[in-house]
Amino acid sequence: MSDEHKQDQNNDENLYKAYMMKTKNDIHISPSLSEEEQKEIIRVGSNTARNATVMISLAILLLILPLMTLITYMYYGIGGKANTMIDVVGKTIYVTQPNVSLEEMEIESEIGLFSMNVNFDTFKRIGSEDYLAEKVDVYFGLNEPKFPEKISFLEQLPPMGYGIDVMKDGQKFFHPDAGIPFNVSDEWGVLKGLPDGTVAEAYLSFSQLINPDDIDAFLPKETEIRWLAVDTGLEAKQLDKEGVPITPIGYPSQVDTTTWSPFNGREQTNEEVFLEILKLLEKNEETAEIVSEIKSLEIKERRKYVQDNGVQVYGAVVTGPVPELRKLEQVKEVRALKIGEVKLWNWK
Amino acid sequence: MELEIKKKRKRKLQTLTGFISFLIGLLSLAVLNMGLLIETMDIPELFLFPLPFLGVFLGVVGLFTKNRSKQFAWWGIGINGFIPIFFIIMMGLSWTINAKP
Repeated sequence: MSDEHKQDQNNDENLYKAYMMKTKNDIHISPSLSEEEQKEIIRVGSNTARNATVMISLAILLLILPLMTLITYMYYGIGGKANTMIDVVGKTIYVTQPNVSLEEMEIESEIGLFSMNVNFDTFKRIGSEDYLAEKVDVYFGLNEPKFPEKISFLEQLPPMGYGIDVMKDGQKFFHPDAGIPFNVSDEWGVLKGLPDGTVAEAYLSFSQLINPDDIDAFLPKETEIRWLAVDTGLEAKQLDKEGVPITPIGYPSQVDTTTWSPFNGREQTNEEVFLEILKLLEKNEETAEIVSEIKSLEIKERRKYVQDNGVQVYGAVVTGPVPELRKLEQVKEVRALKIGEVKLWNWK
Repeated sequence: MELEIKKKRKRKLQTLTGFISFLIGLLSLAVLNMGLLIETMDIPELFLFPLPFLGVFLGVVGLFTKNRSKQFAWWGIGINGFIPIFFIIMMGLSWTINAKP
């Protein structure tokens, strides 16, 4: 290595060392922010971040309830889900509860978070007047119904519970081929014991299957048929194929002139409406079974039977003055009778 | 090589209008929650339309402010926009459910 080259290398090293020294001094002498100022920046930064997080968290919390409410309304509103449920509830009552009607216009629905309550009153025609029968509240968790909560205003309360014996005890209609589990003359005795100045509803069981149009011919004039129990092929045994008791299904016999009633008689007869309702309930059988508190409706099988064999009735609910109802004892088509509600005279 | 940190660096503050927009949104949202909790749709109209619209306006103004964080402005626009839309959709859906003349 030459001397000249060595000298250059020494110069470079000196320059480098001088530069490094200057840099070290600069760093040491001139930090742009003091420690206090740096702490202040960190403090302000963390406060700002914390405040923003709190505010935005608050906004998110306040958005939860409106968003859930909106989702619930969209669930029930879009596609008419809530309306279908309300329709099913109302129509189930008509076809599973004898002589019970409701005011469609008075059906209330309350939508909560992911749930809906359907509230309505049911009425029974006794004599010439409609009496409040029950206040019913059906809760739906999304589309799953619970057994309805009811406040009954009836004197004869329905049997409590859902056991087989309980359901059998509650039977009021009996198919011509089914045995009658009570003493028929006792019931006629009850009717005879009622004062003349009263009106009552009576559940009649016929001695044979009858066409609905033929019933008027043998009933006393001063009575009104309210509801017809339709033969659906299972009534003779009163059990479905799994051995679960079934209860009667039928339809109101009178045209309800209220516009919103399905049985308003404008476009279809009550029989046709009944079959339409069975089709609707077939698609919503689980809801119908829970709303009607009946374990087994077997709608599909029963609807098919009715469509194939036509509407034949084996029982009916009639109402009228008690003296008129007593005349039914002489009617050979009436095999048995059960007295329902009794009220003071209101017959017009 | 410049190692010095600029001493007079500006902190990135929120826009004032954006922040007010956000606060209006929170207030309206709180009133909406109260209405939903006590199960009434009788919420004062002020909190459903006029205030949220003002909030959206202030939020949009906040977006155009320079050298400021626009986080609250965006949130303000979102919340204030949500409230009237929520109310209109709810009214529409309420009319379709169990409608009566």
